[in-house]
Amino acid sequence: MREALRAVAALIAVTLLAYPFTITGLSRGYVALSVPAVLFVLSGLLLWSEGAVTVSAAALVFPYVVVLAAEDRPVDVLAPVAAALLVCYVVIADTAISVPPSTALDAAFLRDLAARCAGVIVLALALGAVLLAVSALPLPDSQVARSLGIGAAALALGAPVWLLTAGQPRKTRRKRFRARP
Amino acid sequence: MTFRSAPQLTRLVALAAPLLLGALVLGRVELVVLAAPLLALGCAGLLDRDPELDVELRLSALRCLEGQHVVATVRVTASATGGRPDQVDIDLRLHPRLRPLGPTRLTVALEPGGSRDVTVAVAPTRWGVYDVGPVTVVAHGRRRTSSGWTARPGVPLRVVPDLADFRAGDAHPFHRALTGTHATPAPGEGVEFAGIRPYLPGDPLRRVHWRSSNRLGQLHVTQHRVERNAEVVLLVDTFDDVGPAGRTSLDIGVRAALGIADHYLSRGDRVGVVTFGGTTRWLVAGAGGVQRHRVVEHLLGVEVGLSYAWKDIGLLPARCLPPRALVIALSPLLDPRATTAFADLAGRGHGVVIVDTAPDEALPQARSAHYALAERIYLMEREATIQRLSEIGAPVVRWSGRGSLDAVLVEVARLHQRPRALRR
Repeated sequence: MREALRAVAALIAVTLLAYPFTITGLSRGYVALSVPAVLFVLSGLLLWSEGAVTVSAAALVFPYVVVLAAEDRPVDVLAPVAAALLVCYVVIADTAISVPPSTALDAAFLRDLAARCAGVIVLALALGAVLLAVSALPLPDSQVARSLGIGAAALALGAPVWLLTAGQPRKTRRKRFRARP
Repeated sequence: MTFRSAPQLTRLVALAAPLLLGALVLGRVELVVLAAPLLALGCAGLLDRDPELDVELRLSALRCLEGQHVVATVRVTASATGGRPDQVDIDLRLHPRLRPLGPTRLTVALEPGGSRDVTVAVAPTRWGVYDVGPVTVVAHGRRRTSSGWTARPGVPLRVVPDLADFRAGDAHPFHRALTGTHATPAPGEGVEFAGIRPYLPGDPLRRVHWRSSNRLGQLHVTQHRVERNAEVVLLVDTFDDVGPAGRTSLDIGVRAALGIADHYLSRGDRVGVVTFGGTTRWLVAGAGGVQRHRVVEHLLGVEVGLSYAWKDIGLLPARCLPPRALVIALSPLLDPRATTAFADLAGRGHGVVIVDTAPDEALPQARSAHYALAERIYLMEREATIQRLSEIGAPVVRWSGRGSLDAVLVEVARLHQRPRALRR
């Protein structure tokens, strides 16, 4: 069953890699750009280590980011779908790594995993839709709007830092006992 | 169970942070859309609670016979007050001599307050004491952003060897003063008929044999043999263990030892065990049902230990080898240290019977003419060793189950009941 999970993750990776071509078409430049990404993804799928999966997930979105940076295009309304695929890939790949080899998977666990994937897909689609809708709002070029934007950016950049620090176990300070002279 | 942040949390941050930076630099909202669910997943995980799990390992029986199987149950219970465990990996490790009849690794999901039983039937492949476990449980919680593990120690399973079928006659070289079931040559109160002799003053009238008295015209009485109990010491040779799995020399020796001990203990005799080999252990002779359990426990711990130390019976305490005990040695007769010890015992006046436990398949298949020659030389040397042991009063007999010791026991009893010339 672990192999089945890996196959599902690989399928999602292929879909996500092919997604930028729906925007640009099969141009030579983007095909050449996606070759190293494919190599990273393949190495991630073959190595199946924690680091390799993280690198492969980054490689999956790299062509899409390049396409968005290079092409002056209108807002991609299908971005929430890409986000849903990315988060689904991360969840399934993490599960596939953490299951020890030659381990039987319980049917209830698989149902639970499917429900979790459905949950994160709905979450990604809903969040994406909300963000796209907010970005499409016509805001006046005022001091308040700029302050709100800067605040949101600071919040967005502070969130990963908070996640990293809050996830670490708290260090308890040990009392030092000194021998009395 | 202590939980720590899992690699998934680092992965989510490592993916989301560059996307957010890219969104700011490039001014593209799509990158925020990509990063938002990753951040949301991480935040939801951190706001959740760690699961609390309780793990229990139980066995359907702590003892079983060879060929039987026991059921190991691992119960994982999630506390209702803790968070929800997204993934629980259960890994039950077994001793190599225990064969699982089902998967021992399982990944399950649990609800808070729920529990899950994982049952695995375990079939031991050999007698002995083996650990079922330890069981390791790895849990992922907080939407896979934290993970922790816990373990429970293994439960020892005692696999009792098959009882070899054994019966033996009354012949015994030595007898103790207590009443038992072995008929001695000495006349006295007993059940075993010894003969008819003329009446002597003091003989009880109920012993008068009227038929003989009528025929011979003089009072005659029946004579009986006194029945006494005996002491048996089982000497198990653990220098070597040869033969195919399940029928090795040690398997045969231990099963035979258990059968012999069971036979003599059921007749009220005292039985002791000495394990003579790489590691030397002993069990002082005793009688009764408790001693039977002690013998079983002692034999369960028998194993071959590699040792180059020259060992003789001098290192055994005197009470392990009482002077008037019958020593039944169970040995494949492969190690000269063992054969020397048996000869030493016979020389010290013990009644020694050696049971050859080497299986027929102990020798490897002949692969060449040179091998056939070497095999002949080996068999001749072995024959000479057996002959030498028999000559010094330690007869060797092959183990064949019920009644296999009857003939040699009569021989040893006769050997030790003949008058001896004492050197003064």
